[in-house]
Amino acid sequence: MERRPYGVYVLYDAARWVPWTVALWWQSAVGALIIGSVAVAHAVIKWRTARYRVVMKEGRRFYSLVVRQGVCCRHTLHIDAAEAASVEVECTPILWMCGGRRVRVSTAGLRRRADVVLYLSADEVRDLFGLRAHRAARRQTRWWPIAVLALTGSNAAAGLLTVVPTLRAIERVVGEQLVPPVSGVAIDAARAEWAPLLQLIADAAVIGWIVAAIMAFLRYVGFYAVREETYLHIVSGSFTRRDVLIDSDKITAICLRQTLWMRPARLHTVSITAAGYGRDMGARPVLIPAADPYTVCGELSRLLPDFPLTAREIRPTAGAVWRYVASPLVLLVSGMVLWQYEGVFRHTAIAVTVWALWWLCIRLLGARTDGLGQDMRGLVVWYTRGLATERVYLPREAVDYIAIVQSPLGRWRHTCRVSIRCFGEKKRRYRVWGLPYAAVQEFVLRFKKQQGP
Amino acid sequence: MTFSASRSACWVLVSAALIPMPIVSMGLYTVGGWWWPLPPATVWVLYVPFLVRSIVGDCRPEGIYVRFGVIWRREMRVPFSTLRTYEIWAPPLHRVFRCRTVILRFAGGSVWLPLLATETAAMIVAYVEGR
Repeated sequence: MERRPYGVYVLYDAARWVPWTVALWWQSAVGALIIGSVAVAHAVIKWRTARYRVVMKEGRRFYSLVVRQGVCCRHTLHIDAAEAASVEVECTPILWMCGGRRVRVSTAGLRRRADVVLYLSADEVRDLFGLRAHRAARRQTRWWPIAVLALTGSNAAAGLLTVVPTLRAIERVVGEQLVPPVSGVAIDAARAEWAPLLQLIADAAVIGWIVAAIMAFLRYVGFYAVREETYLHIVSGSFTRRDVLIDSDKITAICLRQTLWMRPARLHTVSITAAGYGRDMGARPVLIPAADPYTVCGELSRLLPDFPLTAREIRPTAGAVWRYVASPLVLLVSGMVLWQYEGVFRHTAIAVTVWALWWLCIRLLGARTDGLGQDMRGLVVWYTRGLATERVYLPREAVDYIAIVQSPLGRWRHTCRVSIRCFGEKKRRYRVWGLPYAAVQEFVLRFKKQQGP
Repeated sequence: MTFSASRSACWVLVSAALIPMPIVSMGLYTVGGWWWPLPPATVWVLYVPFLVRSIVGDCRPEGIYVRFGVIWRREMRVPFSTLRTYEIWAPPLHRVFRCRTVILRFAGGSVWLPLLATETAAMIVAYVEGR
């Protein structure tokens, strides 16, 4: 039987025109009113003509879906139950007040958004997906690891520690130090306009960090994941609640990530790569936001018992540490050079030195902890990416290829770089440097033999 | 099951060219003379029937095969095992001339089966559903 989407569809469809209407308002109020009226009328007609139909397939929790919508360009979309990889049910405060839910269905693919977005009532969602609240699991999540994660999100913390002081220093230089005898039209303009602008940017960065930390905390406090037959049910969010159902057969990798700030607290973040999950802007495919190793092992064995967990077999050689620290040392030397000069260069030197030391610490950790391991079920890669160390578990069938690269220096030292690419990850490569060449060859041969044709 | 573009697809393409034609014609007219829009319009009107006739395809048990193009010919095979979603797209010009476009999306991209008759598009969708 075909049904119409929930009425809140009109609100969200018309809301897409709000930026245009507001922008036009300052030019012509009448024009803005006309645009707004057309947008609302279009949304109402689109809602009244939209239809969807679900067909239950035996043995499957997800449904086959046929969605018809559109006024000028009409689309009729079909999704088979077997192809639906994940379903996300979102409840914002506005949706909660209206009694509706937003459902995003994604299939395995490389589109940057969900394949279909539906607005249903809360009762319909409950009937279709049978989402249950797991109160015991929710009570078990602890708040202090989430707080550490929120406050030390690498990008935000880095910006606060380095960018903000640098901008303030530059603003002081431009505002005060460029005083007579240095003058001129350009300098006066710079003093008048750049100084307040730089102060504004610095203030915005501070506010942005505070907002990002609060939003991260609210997103993950009360976060939990449970296994329901062959599906993972992940719940997150305080104000905007998200229930995500993922077919565990579609999960291709598990990643354990640790930033420098989380290392003293021995916390890791666990995220998953699943075909069709986490493609939308703002989506975070997190399975465990922040937990100690004991909790991580316990949770992974409960949620995903089929994933490989194995010890490291190959590590970088002792001489490979120079490969790891070369780039941060170059940056550090650049910072040292800038120290010679006064004014804005001195402040830039401070920022560059802080970044370089941070990066150097991560790379030194990576030289000690990176490596490869395998067992019957798959491959484990320890590697360094950006300002974090990561550990990735890959089932055998998910590995597309393993590349072994030797530079001239590597040939002399009998070391190599290993690069691994997986199904469903267009641009991500897992790279480990400085591994002993003979050991890697034997490792890859063994992996291929067990992977089969 | 074989399929090809609809007979009225020529009208869809010619009508679609009429939409930007006033702006293009004005531009060409100001650059050259009144006769400048005529050659590209003539080429387009002569080219469209060949393009429409080149769109042919076949639904096979293992997947869908489609061939199109006049100067550059393309052949595409979409196995059913890689198919994720399929869609029927009907903009206003298509609906006026009773045409539809079927979009087959797979993991790495999509294939468009354009300018099919309404019944043909429905048959292809039914075939894919029943596989």
